[in-house]
Amino acid sequence: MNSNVRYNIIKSISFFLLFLLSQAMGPHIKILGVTPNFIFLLVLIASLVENTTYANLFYALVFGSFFDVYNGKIFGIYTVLFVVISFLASEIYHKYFEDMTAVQVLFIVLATFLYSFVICIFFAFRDNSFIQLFTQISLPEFVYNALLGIVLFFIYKTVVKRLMSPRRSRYF
Amino acid sequence: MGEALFRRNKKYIIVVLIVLVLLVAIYFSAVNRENTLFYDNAVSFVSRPVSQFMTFVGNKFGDFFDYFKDKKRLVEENVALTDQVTELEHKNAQLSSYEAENERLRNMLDLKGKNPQFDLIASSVISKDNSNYYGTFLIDKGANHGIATNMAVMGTKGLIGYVIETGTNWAKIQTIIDGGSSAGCMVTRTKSVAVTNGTTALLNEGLLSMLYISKDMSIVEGDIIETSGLGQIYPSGIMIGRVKELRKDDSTQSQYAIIQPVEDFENIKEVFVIAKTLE
Repeated sequence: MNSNVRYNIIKSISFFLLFLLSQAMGPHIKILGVTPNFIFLLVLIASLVENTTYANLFYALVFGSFFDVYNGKIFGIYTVLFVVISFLASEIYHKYFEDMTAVQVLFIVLATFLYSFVICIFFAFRDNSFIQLFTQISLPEFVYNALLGIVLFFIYKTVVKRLMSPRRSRYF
Repeated sequence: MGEALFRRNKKYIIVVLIVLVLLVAIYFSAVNRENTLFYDNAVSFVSRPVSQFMTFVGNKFGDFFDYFKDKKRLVEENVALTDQVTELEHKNAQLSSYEAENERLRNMLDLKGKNPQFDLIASSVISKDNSNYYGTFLIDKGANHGIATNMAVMGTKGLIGYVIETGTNWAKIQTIIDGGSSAGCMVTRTKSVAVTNGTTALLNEGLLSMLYISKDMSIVEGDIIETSGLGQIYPSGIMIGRVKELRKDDSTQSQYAIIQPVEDFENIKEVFVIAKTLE
């Protein structure tokens, strides 16, 4: 089995377990009544760190759909967001800004804002209460996701760097 | 030339196709969530055993921090006590926890006695909604256990919601505090009818609103609200909550109430699906 396949198998299993763990822990790590979207952050960070378009699309599609199955009532909404936001972030970053950590961090902040804002717009149409939803849910959710995303980004980069270093890569 | 164009833009075309398929899925799911049930069942089949374990870990995580909050409070209140007393306080906190668990389990067993008119199916919560905009959760029983969509769900104290989606061995419950939820209700004291409505803005506070309060309706803070039985889903007589606050809508000048549900939606662990109402 080549190293890329092995790496992706391990990554898929890790993402799957982390997704289920985040589903279980979510209610216990609420701040101001909001839960971070841990799996969205992982998919976004992976797409920014690794320039592998189809693999990134796969993770966005699969884990976006998992999030839709476990949360909410209409299947597909979060999957679309996962796919579009992570694809756009990855394409723009890898085309124009390769190897710039500060830009990656900026993209995480922008992407988490876009994610929270789009969902807020969707629910504002349904509930006719944009200001209330934005201040009570969307803004705290964006801040929480952005801060957690920045921390996860550095952890992810370190883990991937260690896993893919020449000494370790023989295991893959 | 067409082929060259396709090769250059292949990934964009693939993304557009994926998004189009997802938009179709969203449409069919919005019309009837059970249109995408096959995928939900497949995901649940694979993830459920691990998900139940993770939920167990998550609950212990929450209990662990609650225990330390109580311990810290007790130590601060009893700063002059000796180490022996602190140890006794620790043992006392553990006993209180066991007592609360015992009370909760006794309430569960007693529930059927208090509600002989309902055929109840006990279920455990395996996953709660993490989206911040919905008030739904998954339970560990489904069609194989006699659960079907539109069955009402209650807790040990009162109404929780109803089943919106059923898999083979899981079901998704929409709570009464979810933004898309409404229930026919009445003020227990006066038998006046109205409608409770979940709203996304109140979701994180665990509250819901009560609408269509007529001008001549007698309603005060503290009044008990229960299901009226009007509508297809909820049988009558199940407690919903108490009136927390009465407000006036500035645009319509009509009165509405904020209801404090009797169930604690943050800490639900077990629920009861009302399979049928016995004669």
